[in-house]
Amino acid sequence: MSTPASSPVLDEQLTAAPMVPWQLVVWDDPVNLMSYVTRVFRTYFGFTEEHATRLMLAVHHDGHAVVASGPRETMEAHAHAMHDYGLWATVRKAGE
Amino acid sequence: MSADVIVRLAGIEAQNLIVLIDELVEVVDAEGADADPGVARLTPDAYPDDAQASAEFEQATRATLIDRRRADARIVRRTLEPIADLADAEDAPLREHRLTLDDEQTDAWMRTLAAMRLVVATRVGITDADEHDVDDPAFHVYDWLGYRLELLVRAADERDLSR
Repeated sequence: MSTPASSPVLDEQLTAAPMVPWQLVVWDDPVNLMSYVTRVFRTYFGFTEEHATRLMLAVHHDGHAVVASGPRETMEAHAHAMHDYGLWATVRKAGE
Repeated sequence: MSADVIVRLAGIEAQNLIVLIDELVEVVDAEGADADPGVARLTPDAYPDDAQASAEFEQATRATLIDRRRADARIVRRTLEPIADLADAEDAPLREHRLTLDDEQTDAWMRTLAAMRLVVATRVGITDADEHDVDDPAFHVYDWLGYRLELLVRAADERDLSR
């Protein structure tokens, strides 16, 4: 496997314009079951059981967690999907 | 090895679920549903800090979310009707029945149970997972829906592991 020589100019551009500016945030609520939230994370996002459980616990203990990040349209599609399952999800710009 | 999820429930449970499913559809179809906190919980605000983005997201997703509740309700109702009818015919409401659900039915069941809990929770005023009024009969409905959902999630998770 070869490694292309990196261009300092290109690297700088990548830093200046981050490719991942939006986040999907899932919020804790007193109604949805922990097992159900874990299952939704595992089956919808394709996360492992361990990763899905870790995220569910982060939502539960911290009140919310960033579950995905990427282009705005993708995060909105994820939020729609979370709402479809009855989860409480919002979309925000990273860093806000 | 079966890929179906098995649900065991009494005839009277099937009958009660049908009543609650019909109530859920009535709630989302009701005039003034837009102002109903239960319906609001089924169509959350994706942009609490941006009124315009919030309105655009709602415009793009609300009808689809509500349609899904109706479509799921139809699927779940169809799986329950034979059991509810049989319980009536036999006059044996407590006899346990075995229901096999395919993937689509399993997902519809889970989403419907979760949606019914969310709507009942807004009615009962559940704001904390550990605090509730046990004298309110609606709380016991809420609790039982949680029990049914927990069993279903467990059965579906076990099915996935065996695949």
